[in-house]
Amino acid sequence: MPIHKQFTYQIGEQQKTVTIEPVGDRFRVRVGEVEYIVSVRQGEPDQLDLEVDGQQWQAVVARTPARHYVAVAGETWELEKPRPQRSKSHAHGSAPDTGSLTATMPGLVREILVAEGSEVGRGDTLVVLEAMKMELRLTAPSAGRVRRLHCAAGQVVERGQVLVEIEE
Amino acid sequence: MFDKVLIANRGEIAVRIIRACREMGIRTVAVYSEADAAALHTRLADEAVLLGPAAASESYLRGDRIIAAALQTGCQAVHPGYGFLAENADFATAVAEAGLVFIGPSPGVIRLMGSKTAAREQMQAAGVPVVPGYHGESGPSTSSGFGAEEQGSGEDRSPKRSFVKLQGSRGAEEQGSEGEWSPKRSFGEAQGTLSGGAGEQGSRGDEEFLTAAQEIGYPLLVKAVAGGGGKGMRLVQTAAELPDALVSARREALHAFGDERIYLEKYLAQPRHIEFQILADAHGHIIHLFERECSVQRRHQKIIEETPAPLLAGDEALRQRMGQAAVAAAQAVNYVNAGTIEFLVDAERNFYFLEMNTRLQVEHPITELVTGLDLVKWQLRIAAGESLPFEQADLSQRGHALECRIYAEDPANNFLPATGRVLQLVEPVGPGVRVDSGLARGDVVTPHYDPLLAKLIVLAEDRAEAIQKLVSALRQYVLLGVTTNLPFLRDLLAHDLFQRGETTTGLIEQHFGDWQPAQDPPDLVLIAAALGEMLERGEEARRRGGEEMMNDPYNPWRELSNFRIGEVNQK
Repeated sequence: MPIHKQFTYQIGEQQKTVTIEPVGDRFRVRVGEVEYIVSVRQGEPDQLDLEVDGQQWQAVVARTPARHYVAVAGETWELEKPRPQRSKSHAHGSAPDTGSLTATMPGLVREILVAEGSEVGRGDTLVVLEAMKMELRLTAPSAGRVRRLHCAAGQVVERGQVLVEIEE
Repeated sequence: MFDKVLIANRGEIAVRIIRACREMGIRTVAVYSEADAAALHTRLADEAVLLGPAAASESYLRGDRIIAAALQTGCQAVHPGYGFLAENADFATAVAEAGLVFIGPSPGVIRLMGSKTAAREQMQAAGVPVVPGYHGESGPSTSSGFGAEEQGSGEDRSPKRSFVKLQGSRGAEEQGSEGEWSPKRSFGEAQGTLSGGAGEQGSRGDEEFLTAAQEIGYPLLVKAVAGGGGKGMRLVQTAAELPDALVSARREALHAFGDERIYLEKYLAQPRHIEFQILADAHGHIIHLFERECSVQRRHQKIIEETPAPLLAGDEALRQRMGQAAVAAAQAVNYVNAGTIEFLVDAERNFYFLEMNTRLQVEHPITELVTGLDLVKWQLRIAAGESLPFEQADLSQRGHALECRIYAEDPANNFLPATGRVLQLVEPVGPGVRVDSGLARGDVVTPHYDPLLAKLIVLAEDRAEAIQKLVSALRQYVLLGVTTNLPFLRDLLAHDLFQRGETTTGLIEQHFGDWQPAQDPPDLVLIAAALGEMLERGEEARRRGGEEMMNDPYNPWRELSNFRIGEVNQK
């Protein structure tokens, strides 16, 4: 019974699946509709010598819980782990998408200029973020009232992290 | 020669200095913050002393703790690197007062060159051409103790200034000097970092500025006396704009540098930036090691530097005149140790002194490659009292060197900083390929310090070959886990304008404004990702499973558990 291993990656809005089937001392690898014959040798962990349809490549890969990194053929790529198909309907958590202030870069919260309950105008500076000697002033995307603060001065935050919830 | 030296820095430059010391048999002491406990520079040195928490103000800028560390470990000298306290005259003084040797020029020279107007006056007096300008009534400059101050790392000047990311100085950027990130604002600045100059220029001085501006001619720049690196500037196109520009420039200068003094400088359109490396011993012998040109920068952040300067190709006479001016400039202030004189060259090929950097610069490797000299070692020798054994006539450049800087930033996110853990690192190797890096696999890149991770430098016979070599090395370079400008650099180097040497400071804004990394990975990428995952799971299965798992016919990983690392897959 042939043993297939399947791996799926998110590329933009699409997903692509790779299927690997051992064949003798090589693998039959299918990417979408296309098939390749591949052999692989691993030197250092995650440093792969590949032969794909007769051509040789050296690849270096890495993984985090959310993404795959691949360096091959002189370029670097980042692939996401597949997002659940239902992701759109999961958007309604307690933080509404509009009216939140998110960190546009990773950094330290240097200053928070508002408090819960403050009235803010569109364009008002709410949080001062700092990273690598660069200061970034994050401004209110719309007028409203600060419903909740999700950060504190001195805290290190990730890019995309919600910092302030604003209700209109 | 010194027995033991403390390196008062971090990252790639600390590693660089440690290496030079090792080659000379000098023992090394590293200093580190809590964030750098496992960093490469910390581990490479013979000893390491913890300075404090991650923030630079609590660690790499704590001159008092640095000096204490040097004394407690029995060092004779301190190398400040670049940025942090490298150009802090108070720190240099304190080092000397503690009986240690500061590897660099004297505190007086550091202070002098830290004032743009004082530096310009000195140069004028020495017969070195300066950009036409006007200084006004410069008040006395004061400095606050270095211990209380915020930052200034990367290549910035003394941290007695603190910085704000300035808006609205786009047009003036071309006449900035060192490319750098705009550092953050200090929250300590409210406490006594205001200089005695505050308020002395004031509005009564504006009349004089207006008159002087007429003579200089428009467009012109309003610049901060205590600034540097292209920060705190206002471009003024007409006389009508000047009064407001003076007011707002003063306000920004006060806020950012604790010193509201400003001066005027003629604005040169599309100037080229050429700097000359100086080496001077303590016996009055000064030579230059030729020039460097910063070909590509982005908002004061240098990206690519090279030597010889394309601008000077075939113009040996201009090179000699500029070199002589650079030496004269250093002589005028009795300079000792390594330093750099920055010039601007206008469209008519007139050159003007812009500023002097009293430290080793980030891009020093390209000079080392074309001259064959190790600048860090010469810094150590000079500081130990040795004489420079060569004359200017003995020195020459050979070949072409190019450096590009690898930054932890996301060019697709407006070049904003990026953080993360270095999961994979493969640095390029080959003839004429050099990597100066402060990174090792597993290191965490945090938001606390400069975004510069490493420098990739190549040496080849000529510029065309150097570019090819750099492109090839960039393709070999693997750094996974932190977003870097590597993909951007690959595209930049491939651009026609760069290949032809027709780079201006506007290259990136004009041609790479909307740059995005390629989005559609070829199948090869997916194959590699999938096989990588598969192999990792096979390894895990083998570690966990053992005999039983390997023989279970329904175990989908049974095939994989026969994999051995390092062998071609065969049963």
